[in-house]
Amino acid sequence: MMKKIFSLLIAALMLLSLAACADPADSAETTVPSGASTTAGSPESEEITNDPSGVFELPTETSEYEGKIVFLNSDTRSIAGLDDASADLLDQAVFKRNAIMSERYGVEVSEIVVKSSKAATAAENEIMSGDPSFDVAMLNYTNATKLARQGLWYDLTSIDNISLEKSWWDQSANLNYSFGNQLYYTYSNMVTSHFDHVRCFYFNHSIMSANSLSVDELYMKAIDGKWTLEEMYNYAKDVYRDDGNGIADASDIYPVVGVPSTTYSALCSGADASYIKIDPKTSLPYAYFTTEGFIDAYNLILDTMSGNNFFYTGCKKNTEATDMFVDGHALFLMTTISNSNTMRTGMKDDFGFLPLPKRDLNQEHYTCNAPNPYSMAIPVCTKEPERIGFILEAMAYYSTDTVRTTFFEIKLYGQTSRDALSWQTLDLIYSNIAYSIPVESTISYSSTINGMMVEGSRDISSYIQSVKSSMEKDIEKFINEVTK
Amino acid sequence: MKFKAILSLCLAALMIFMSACSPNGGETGDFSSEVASDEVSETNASNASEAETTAAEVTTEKEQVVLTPVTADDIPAFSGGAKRSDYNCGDGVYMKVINMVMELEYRTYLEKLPTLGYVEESAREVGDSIFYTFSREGTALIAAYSGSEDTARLTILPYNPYEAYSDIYGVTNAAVGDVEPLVTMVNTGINGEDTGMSYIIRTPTGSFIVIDGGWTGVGEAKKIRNILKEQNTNGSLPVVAAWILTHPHADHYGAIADMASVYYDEIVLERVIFNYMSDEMLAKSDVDKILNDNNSPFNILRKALSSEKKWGYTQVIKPHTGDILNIDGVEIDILHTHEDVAPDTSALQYNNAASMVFKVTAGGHSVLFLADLTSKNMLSIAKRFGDHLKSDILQPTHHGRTHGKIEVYQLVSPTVVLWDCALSSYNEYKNQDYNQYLIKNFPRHYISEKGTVTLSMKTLEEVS
Repeated sequence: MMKKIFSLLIAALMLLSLAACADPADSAETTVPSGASTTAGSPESEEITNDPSGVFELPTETSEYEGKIVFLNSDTRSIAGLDDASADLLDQAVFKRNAIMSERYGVEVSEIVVKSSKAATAAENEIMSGDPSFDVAMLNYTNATKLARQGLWYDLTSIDNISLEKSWWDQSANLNYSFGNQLYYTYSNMVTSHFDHVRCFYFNHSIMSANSLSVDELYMKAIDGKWTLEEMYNYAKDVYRDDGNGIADASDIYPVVGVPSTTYSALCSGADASYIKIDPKTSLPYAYFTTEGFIDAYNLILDTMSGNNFFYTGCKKNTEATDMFVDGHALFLMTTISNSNTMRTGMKDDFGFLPLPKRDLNQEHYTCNAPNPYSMAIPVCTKEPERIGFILEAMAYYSTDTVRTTFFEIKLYGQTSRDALSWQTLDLIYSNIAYSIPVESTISYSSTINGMMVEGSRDISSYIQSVKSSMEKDIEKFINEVTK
Repeated sequence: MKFKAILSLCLAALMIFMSACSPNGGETGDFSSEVASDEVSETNASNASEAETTAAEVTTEKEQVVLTPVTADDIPAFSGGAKRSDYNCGDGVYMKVINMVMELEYRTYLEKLPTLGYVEESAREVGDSIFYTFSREGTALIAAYSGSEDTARLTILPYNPYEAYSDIYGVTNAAVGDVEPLVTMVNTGINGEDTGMSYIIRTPTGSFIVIDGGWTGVGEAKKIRNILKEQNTNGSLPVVAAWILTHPHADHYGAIADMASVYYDEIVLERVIFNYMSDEMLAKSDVDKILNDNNSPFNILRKALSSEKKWGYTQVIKPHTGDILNIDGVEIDILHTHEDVAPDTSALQYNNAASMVFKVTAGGHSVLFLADLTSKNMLSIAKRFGDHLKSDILQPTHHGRTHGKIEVYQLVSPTVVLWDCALSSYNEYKNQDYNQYLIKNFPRHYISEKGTVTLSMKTLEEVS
């Protein structure tokens, strides 16, 4: 209870500090929250005064770029925000950020909302017309990649007013989405879907306690970098409890729950076995799943998960898996951070966060992937790249103390987390985001491998041999398209 | 009557609209004190003449109106008929539907109303339908009768539209202008997919009436904005005297959300006209998610209509079947709303049945807009309005796909057919008997995916 009160107090303090922050820009010049890809920040604000990646180098007031900026937004969260005291805190923060843009630059942020299913075609048609009704598109990375392959996006690295190395741009996305020194879409503090979409493990305090497992020890293992597949198995192996009917069904208590295909995909990512990786020597993608390293990880994950009644595989939807966890039917749940809202409002038991488990202790870092977040891209036919670039840079910067702070410090640390150590593991999760390499969104091999894992198939080697050649051609074609 | 609150006209209408979005139904009186204190007095829209004038500066002075909350119980008792049903029309409007009514019983009822203090505001008989509107103490009662359906519909309104909207209701001296009235079917279509219904009427005074507008997010609002600019003769911002929304499906009411988000200050929007179902009914229908989705066109429009910066000055009007609105010399005759489907609420789970159908007349010619009306209701309007459906231009129902009825198209006998659909859709459905009837019997056909087309309402000739 004390922990909850403490969390609430922090949340209240953060709310007050946000509300009282008359000039976020001035504040940000001296106190710059850390970047998404380095460290997510903590309830205790840290001051970084000599970090060049935290220094805003554009004018803090000018009328040179005034006017509207229009976003084509297929994200479920508004980029215009809401000026309503009863609105969601993030919507209020977005509105506040936009108010700063209006006051300092005379920029009005507008959005055209489009369904994700229509977004790619809508954007493509409008860009092909040469005079789109939007300046910036917010598309999920699958759609953004599709249009990047057609050459419909402006190279962000060629816009002087955008400083991609700054902390308010997502460095992990910049790295994973760059090909041949060109970057067509990325993330910044401007929006939060890439934070929301990050996958992690949740655990249930009460089930830990019922099995005489120490929450603090588990946290310390994770913080010390020792949270591995083997540790996960050791913690969970004795947790299964039948509800008395003798049938393994959803009313029992399981070690792990999650949608099978996404859980296996996440475990591969966590075990540093993403299907596609970037070759550090060439900065180009290659098929990691055709390597021995991937096959080892594949088999290790199957060994870990295929124990009798270890992983409940009956959930077809995320909501089903989350509901099982909320109702106390699983020690661990693999899902995205966005689902923590369901836990926050509906879960009686306390819960905690963990990064995706490492393959073993030899793995240097945790890796937590974020499937298909909404990225930001500028149409190739834009007539004013520097104006748009300026506005995006400023929006990302002014979002740091508004949107980002609200997401992490008020909502996630303050409102959602239920214990004192969650923020440390959340920090680990956000310090180790690894976005999928875009080529993966355009191929079908990954879904086949997911399906094989769900079926428990051990015949991965022969499948890899059968597709290796065509896979390499696909990657080559992808590289040619996005780098030409 | 418990109390009367003085409200600004447009905010009162807005309040009604907002109550439709409220999960609790938003009783009319709940908003009174808040809205009444939020008065704004600014310049009249008609004074905007300089080209540099912005929409934010061109706002209307808010007239005052008395809003009187009513319930179905306030409808005077009807003697006769059988099988009575109450229906919540939404926005503080209630209806009693009485079946198996003889015309004599209905006329007896009409004679009784003046003895109860009701004053006749309008009367019309068209086809086999009779419409009388009465007012009393700030409320209005529409007493409608359909001979073919032996049904009386008694609808009570918390305001008197002939007083509150006297500039468009009961107009006897319609505006006369020297601008050629036009009807434009806006090119819609995205890679062969239908993207909805989008029309623009230019009135004889040079203002515009936009009908639906098409999808959100696919550039339809920009097309409308550009056409309004091109056809504008006023030398100032285009004045949209009315934006009519037939029903809340994304391919119809999406574009107004984009206009509200991006181009709101590039037009002067005097009125938004629609008659959606109550929030309870919408929540049970195929658009149930729009109420609680902040990003739905429904809520984006609602926010714009409550924003002083955007369209806070815009009137929101809920018309009813039998109403004739006269907007800047254009007559709009309302022929169907969801209220005509009641009490069959199961049919209203699909909002196409709730489509508002109307006939627009200007320059000596008329256009019948059927929106997405369903086949059962197509037959109903044929019975109720008969030859009155005759029009020079026809928009076939549901983009020419389903629901067509030869019985209706025979009565319309158009010269021009405007197909608001993709070519692929037209080709897929053109062999349906009702479409073949149109194709074989009437000479001129335009398909929206082929491009925007503008016709003169005086000559029906194409205007470049």
